[in-house]
Amino acid sequence: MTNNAASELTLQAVPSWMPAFLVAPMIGGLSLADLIALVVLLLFVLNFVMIEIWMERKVAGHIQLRRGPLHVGPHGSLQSPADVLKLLTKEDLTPVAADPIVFPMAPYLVFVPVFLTFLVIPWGPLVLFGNFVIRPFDLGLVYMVAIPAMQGIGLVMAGWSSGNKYSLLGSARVVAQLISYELPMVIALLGVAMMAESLNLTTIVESQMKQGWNVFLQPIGFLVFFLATMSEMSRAPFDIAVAESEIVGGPFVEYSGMRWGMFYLAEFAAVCLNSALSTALFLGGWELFPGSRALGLGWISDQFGLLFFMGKMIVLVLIIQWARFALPRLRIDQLMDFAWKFLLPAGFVNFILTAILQVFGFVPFAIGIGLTLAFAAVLLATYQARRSPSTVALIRTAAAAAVPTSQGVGLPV
Amino acid sequence: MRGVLGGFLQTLKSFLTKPVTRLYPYEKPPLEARFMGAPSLLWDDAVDEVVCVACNICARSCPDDCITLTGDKYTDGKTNKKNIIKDYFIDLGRCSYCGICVEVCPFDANEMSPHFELSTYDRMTLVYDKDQLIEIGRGVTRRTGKPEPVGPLPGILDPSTYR
Amino acid sequence: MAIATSIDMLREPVPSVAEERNLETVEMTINMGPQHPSTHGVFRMVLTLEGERVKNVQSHIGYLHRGAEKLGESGDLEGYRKAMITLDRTDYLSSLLNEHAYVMAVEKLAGISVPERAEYIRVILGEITRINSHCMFYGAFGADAGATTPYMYAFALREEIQQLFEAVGGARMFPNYYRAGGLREDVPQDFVRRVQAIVDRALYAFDDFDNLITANEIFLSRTRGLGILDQTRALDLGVSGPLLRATGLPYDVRRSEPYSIYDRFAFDVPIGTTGDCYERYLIRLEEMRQSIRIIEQALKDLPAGPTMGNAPKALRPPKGEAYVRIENSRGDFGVYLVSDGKSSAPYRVKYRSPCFVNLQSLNDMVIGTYIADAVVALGSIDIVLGEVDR
Ligand code: SF4
Ligand code: SF4
Repeated sequence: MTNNAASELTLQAVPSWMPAFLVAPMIGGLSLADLIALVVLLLFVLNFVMIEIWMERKVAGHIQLRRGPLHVGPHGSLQSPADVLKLLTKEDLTPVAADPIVFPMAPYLVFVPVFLTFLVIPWGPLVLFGNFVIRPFDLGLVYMVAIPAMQGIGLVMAGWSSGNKYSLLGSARVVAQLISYELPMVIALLGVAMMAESLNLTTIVESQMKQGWNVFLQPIGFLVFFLATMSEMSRAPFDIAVAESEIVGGPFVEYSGMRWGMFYLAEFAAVCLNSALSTALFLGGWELFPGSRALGLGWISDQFGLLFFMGKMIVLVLIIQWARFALPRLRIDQLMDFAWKFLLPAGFVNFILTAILQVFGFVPFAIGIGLTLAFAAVLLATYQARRSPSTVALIRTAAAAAVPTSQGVGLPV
Repeated sequence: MRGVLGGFLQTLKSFLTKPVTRLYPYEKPPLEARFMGAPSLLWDDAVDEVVCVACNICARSCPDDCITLTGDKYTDGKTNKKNIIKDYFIDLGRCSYCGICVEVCPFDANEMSPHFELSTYDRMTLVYDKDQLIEIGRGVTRRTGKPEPVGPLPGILDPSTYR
Repeated sequence: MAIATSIDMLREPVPSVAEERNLETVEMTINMGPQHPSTHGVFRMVLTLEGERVKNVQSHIGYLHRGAEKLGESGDLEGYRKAMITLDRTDYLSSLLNEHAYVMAVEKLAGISVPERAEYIRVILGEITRINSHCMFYGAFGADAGATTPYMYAFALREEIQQLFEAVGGARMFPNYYRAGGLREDVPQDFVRRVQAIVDRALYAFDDFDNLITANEIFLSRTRGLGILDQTRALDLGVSGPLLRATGLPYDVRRSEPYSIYDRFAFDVPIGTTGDCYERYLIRLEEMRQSIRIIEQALKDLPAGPTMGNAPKALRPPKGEAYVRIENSRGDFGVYLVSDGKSSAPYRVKYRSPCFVNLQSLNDMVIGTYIADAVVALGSIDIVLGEVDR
């Protein structure tokens, strides 16, 4: 797929789902259709984030034997709009020690890159509307890696300008984390690009409909990508950058009101974004189920694809939220170890396996998978053998065998 | 891996069980018979006056020194009291709801009432005077020292709600 | 052996960028607490950091000092009862255990005997308090390690335990229920049924506790090998409770100096092997199960009869002193009382609070670890600031 157009950043100026009369008038390089699309996208993101926050609070509540929001609206569903109203009316404090220019700027630099990345997501088709995608760049994959990485700058600005040591620590952690996890993420994406022979996200989805979903062809790649993005957006168990129990919120410590709300928005928009990307890159985008085209059911996806895309995305969002309440947090060195010692090699394995599949065909690929599994099993067995016996068992036996200490062993009072 | 999956399964399990939350302001908690809320003064319905004889024992026994009372000579002659209270204040902001004042009262003149919703914007309103203390003590009977009837288990203790 | 050498080279500490280029670095001091989510109240640590590593830690206590001991010595009437009110509020998580120690000290001072039934009920309620307190540890420790759910699990169980306390003593946290010579009043008539319900529920809850984080690899890697305190050092510091038992010494006052009627029950004293944070956690979980064992035995043998002994109405013990130690949920808790033989309040009250002593081990545990570890190590000591500061 190396045509001339792909080598430069081509902007497909015509969103396919807009009527032509809207596309014609151009205002400063943007057509009216573009502006409408942007507004629609912004509204979608903001609304989805609100729903997502409500979902997360409900999930958290029920996991923790609570009920979550309950009173504003049916089942508390209007809690998030109410919170936004509260944040908007709250006083916007700037600490004395904070930098007066950088401090207010940081929240935008965190939110805007996330929002911009939504431009390339192929949402899928819907009857009467056609295919929803705002900018089907040919370099979409590169764009979606490059733009969210700018978030790091915003977070560092926030942490540094707050004039608070906790935020400083938090922003230092953010940098370390972003840089470490960028790498495995990109390596995992190499496999995707190789399979589709394209960097265009729409093409990637369409190629998955022909070849099978990437999640089945490169499960390791999916795992690496999913975990790496989870870490990139600082979600538990990788949330060391905000870690309330250690550095009480990291870069956001000093923010209040809607500025803080922007960070919150960006965090949840990133969850939405990364779920959408995982859906598009690995879960077959808007296809109903793998191989539906071969069964002659392709028309369902072609008509209602958007809904399936959203459905898959919401499932991923739920999984991300679930993990937050099921797992403790990693420590910073363990986080780095996880990126460099596990995700990166796994990403390379995936890369090689995909290359084998692409060049030599299915049989060597299957052999490769088998070898990988065998190797993983050997590694696991060595680890198990070297592990000391379970401490739980040790404590139980020791408890039963313990001879009560004689009266003599007292403690200095 | 096993432990991480275990965590996921456990949270799934608790996701599917019934929440234990009680919706407090709408759903009052089941108060036990011995619940100790704010101390109150008891009213003697037979002679239509307070039981208290202003002996000051409760004030002297209170660990937080939150009871202040003054007595008057009793002249009504309905009972054989020598004194009756003129003023009786309890600073519920300082009270630790320990029940000692009730325990030491030799005349069974007070009891811990079930009154516990004391949130206020002004802590001076927490200084309850005689009338307020009598008010929250209405309908309360002297229980301390006597066993109460067996009731059903409160719902939250029922293990079946948890399984 | 070229490979071996290169592996050895890999193991050598790598000089940091700052060292390599002779850059000037400064240490950072951060002030953790007194308002910080993981300092268990109002504890304040001043951490000197080198990057993420803790170089030094300085503890500041006293923010919650309320003069509980001095207040216990005041009052012209009922002084011996008043002291217990303030004692309850020192270690607010093991209030009934501490009440037990206090009433035992008064009984020793005044030579009062306690009826059997009261002793059994004290043991049952004391062990339930221990479960209650360890639940709190479980929740807080999980939160320190970054898991939010344990807190809620722990509080679901604590809620029911506190409901029992409310039924028995009238208050959920500070029942003020024991009296020198017995109990304030007999337990409610459905006491046995309710305790049984809690026992059933608790056994389920413990399994859930275990499933949630005990075997979790992230939790293991966060707590294993962290904050190791060896036995000699622990004894030197005077550490007691689960912290000491994690080092492998089966020292439990209930066993080594049985008080009350603890010599009648069969229970195990869980001990650890290395003394790290994970073992402290495991020991506390196991102690909860052992408490259930004690409760079940005590419920079976619970005799009928009076719950108040021959205590005089106005307590005025003869001149003398008494020291009583018990095993509360944090360690060796002692009450020292002096009576001058004249007044109705103790002449001197002194509490030996295990938290205060255990907290000394913080420096041994924290220095050289990461910030995140400092929080976990502090959590594993399981301090209650009310008791540290008194
Ligand atoms: S309940 Fe306790 S603190 Fe409150 S008034 Fe009575 S004796 Fe004083
Ligand atoms: S309430 Fe009881 S103890 Fe207090 S003054 Fe009245 S009679 Fe005396």
